[in-house]
Amino acid sequence: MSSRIPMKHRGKRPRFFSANGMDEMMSMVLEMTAEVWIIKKRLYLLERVAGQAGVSLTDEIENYNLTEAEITELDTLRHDLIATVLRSTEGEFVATRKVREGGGTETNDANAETQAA
Amino acid sequence: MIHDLSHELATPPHRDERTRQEFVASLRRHVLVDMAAHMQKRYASHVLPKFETAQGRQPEDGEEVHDAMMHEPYFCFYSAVRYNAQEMVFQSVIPVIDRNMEDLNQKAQSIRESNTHVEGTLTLNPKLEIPRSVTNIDVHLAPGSYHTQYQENDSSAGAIYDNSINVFAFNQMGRNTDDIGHSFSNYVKVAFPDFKPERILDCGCTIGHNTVPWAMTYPDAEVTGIDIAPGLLRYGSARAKSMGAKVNFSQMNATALDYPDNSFDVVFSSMFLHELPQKDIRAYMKEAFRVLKPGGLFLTMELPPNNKMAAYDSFYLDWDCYYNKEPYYKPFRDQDYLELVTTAGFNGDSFQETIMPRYTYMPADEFTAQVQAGPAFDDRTGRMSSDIRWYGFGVWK
Repeated sequence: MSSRIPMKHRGKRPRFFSANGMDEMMSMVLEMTAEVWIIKKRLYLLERVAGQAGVSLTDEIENYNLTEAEITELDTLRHDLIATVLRSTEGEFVATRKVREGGGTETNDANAETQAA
Repeated sequence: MIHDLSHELATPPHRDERTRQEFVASLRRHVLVDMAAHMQKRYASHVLPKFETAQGRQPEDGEEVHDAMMHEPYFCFYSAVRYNAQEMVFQSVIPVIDRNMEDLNQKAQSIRESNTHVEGTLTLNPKLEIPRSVTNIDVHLAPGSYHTQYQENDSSAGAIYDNSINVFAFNQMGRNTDDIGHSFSNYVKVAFPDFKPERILDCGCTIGHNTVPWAMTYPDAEVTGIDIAPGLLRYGSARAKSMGAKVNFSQMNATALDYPDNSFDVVFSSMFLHELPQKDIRAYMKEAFRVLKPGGLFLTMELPPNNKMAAYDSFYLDWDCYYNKEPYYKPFRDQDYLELVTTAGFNGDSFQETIMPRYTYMPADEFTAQVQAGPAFDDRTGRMSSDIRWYGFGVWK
């Protein structure tokens, strides 16, 4: 989105968390929450506008019977959403912790393992 | 829900843009009311005991509290949410202003030049140098700060300010974010009923949102607002005319006022001193003394000084200095305000601090009763919340 007026302020952003990435994560969560709210409000208005036009969307949605094909499609969409949001927690990006026999944990650096191999 | 602006320069956002602004206003409220309360409990239950155990005493000031709180996880979350909310204020407003820039500027000019609106002059000085204290920093994370202009005859900076403070304030600063102006002008009317100011000056007026109330409270007075930034003043002049308030606006540096000695009955400012470097504060107050008539009133709405506050409350209000690009905030609040006015030339005998409720949030007679009773200094003073009490100080010449 281009803008003649700058959208970002000058200067560095402070770091509130010692863990790398946490500050950025907080920003992402808050922006995403804003986007979710915009969608929720639009759906809210959609149902009411439809209601004024004589279509009770609220009731229709509550009573809608999904077809098998639609259930399968929604399963895929939902799974994809979760996988996309949690993409950064998977596979080689993660330093996993293994529980040692007898207690305690050790960090299993997946990258180190890859390099060793 | 946040209000639409109630003057002709209102630039209605699209539905989703308004929804985003409402979200940010709610987020601001959540962090400044709910998270702030929780953070204070965490301080009392976890941070303070740890400090007392380690040091054998309580923290002496806000800096010690800040040092202790920096390791408190909830402080990190509070700060991250609050910082992001501040950025999101401008990000929710700027696209609307950017899209409507030409129409806004044409409308503002049309209002300023019209014969059907109230009088009120606008005097700009293109040669006036904007101080580096303004140009070098995007104060309170506002992209472009106060002074930037994006095209000829631009009022965008004023529109950004007006719309962003509307979101920022989550309905706590008045219908037109002008409660401070209404509260302080009516405080003077209640506390000093025989005082009839003829000329009133508001320094650092930005868009005149707290200047217009003075014209409403004292309709026979000549009211002037000055500021350093042309875009704010173009917008403010049109805004005041649109609201039926006769206010003169002039581009001027408050540290070098272009008025003769003994010109004004009132020199007022609001949320201004804490944006100035120390040397500019002192220069401005000397100018205020100079341009005030004998018997005139210097009055300023500000944040309370640290020397009046408990250590935790000092820490809480100093957050903006550390994290909100307000570098002059704490140095100002560390000052002795009596010393500031006496150094400027005022006799400290009439120095007065005042705390007041919000005028536009209650019946006028209740405001009068509370002012006459003299509200006490407490942890609501100066704290942005649903029950804020404004702090101010003043002195007669």
